Amino acid sequence: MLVIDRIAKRFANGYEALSQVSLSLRAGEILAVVGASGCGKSTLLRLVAGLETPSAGVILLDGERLSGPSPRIGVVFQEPRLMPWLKLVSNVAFGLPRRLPKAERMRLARAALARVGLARFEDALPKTLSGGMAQRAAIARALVTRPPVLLLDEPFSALDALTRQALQEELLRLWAEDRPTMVLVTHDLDEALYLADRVVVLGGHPGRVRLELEVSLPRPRPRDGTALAALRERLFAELPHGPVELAA
Amino acid sequence: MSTVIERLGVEAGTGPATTAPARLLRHPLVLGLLLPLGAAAAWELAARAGWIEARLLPPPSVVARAIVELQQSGDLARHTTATLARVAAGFALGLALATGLGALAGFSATARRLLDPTLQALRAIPSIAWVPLFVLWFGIFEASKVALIATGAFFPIYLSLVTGIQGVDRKLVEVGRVCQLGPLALIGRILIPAALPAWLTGVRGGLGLAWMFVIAAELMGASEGLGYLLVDGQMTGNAAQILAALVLFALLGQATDALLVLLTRRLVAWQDSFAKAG
Repeated sequence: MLVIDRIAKRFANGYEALSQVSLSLRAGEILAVVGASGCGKSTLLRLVAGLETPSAGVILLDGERLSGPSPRIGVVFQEPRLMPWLKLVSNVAFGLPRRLPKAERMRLARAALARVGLARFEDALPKTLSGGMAQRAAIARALVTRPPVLLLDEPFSALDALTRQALQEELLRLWAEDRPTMVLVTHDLDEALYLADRVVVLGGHPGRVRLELEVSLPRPRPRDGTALAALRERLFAELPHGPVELAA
Repeated sequence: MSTVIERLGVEAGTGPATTAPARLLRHPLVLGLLLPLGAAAAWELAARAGWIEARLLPPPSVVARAIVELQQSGDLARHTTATLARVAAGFALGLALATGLGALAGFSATARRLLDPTLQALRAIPSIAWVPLFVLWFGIFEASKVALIATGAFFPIYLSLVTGIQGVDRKLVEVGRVCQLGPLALIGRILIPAALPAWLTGVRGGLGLAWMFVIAAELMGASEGLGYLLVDGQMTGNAAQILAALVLFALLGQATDALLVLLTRRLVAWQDSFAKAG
């Protein structure tokens, strides 16, 4: 469905972030990409989002070559990135094409806000929201068009542990509605193992795929991690840094 | 002694037991008027006591009488209208040019490379230095004055708009790209609203400079206007008239600035800023 074929990224300053990365995603699959900071995992996501152009290789969505941002791909960034001058409902409607009549855009935006539990806050300005609420709104904006692909770049890393768990559950619930194909970049191994059908470890300079691991445990998965301990060990072994740095 | 201190403590306190005068004192307008009114009272007393030369530094009562006399003769309205009209015309012209060119230079790197060096070089010329040229070009009447005021208002607005647009968070622009916004939609829906606070800061500064330059323009030769009152007061040794003109400049400048802030407050109400939280 989504095919990343021998992609490489070298920046204008000569820095080579990725080399020969190939991944293939099934429709409705949740793929987590983990790796130490600086391994190119965010670059990979930005390439698929069309925010960066690959230096080599192609990205195909349903057999069609992607060049630039696609209306079929929704993106959730690490920060909520809401327009501070727009009410929440208008922020969510930002994701909708302007050719739709305004009433329709507002209706869809309200529905998307309701899906993430923010129906009461449609007239609120972003400055009045907590971090978790703002990130929910960002997810609503990415999902308002019901895109077949959803990209998430460390979407919960700035949130406290409880809010993070709540949003992980919420993400799975939203995913179960339409089953979009998801690519989740994270540095949190437990998050990757809790959410994903498959985990990919990126590493090295330039970044390459070092390990692909299927997580076949049915959902909902236990939070305590005992069932996933063996998988976690294998992922952990592939990461270049010590446990102290990873815990941070 | 201790009772005095205690009473002061009560008045300055923020508890529910504050007295009425203390509450009045905390009103922002009252607090802002305290200094000028106090200074005026001291000045008046000093003049009455003969401590200062009233001919050179006439007390507030004499200045007030000068203003009233100007008002009664109809001169006040004539001079204020002339000055206000010049400021309005020059400020509007500077605002329009600065906003147009600033938007162009902010959005397009090509336009910026084309325009910015020239405008920066022109900015380095003290604006008063334009006076001889403007007089040569536009004559000694209204056109040269409006041109000078427009020049003064132009640069702060242009600069803050260019800086504001260039300073727009790349992260928000990326959201626009992901949401399939074209270049025009990107400008209209992200860059302009995000740069609005910076632009308004420049507009305020531009208005202040418009007031500064109207004086320069009127000092260089005018038959009416508040600047004319200044020159006339100097020629005739009428210090009260000079002070009256200064007071009017202060009032009009303050009033137009307050009006601008009032008119634009809603546009930037979304900002999550320190001043509003306090």
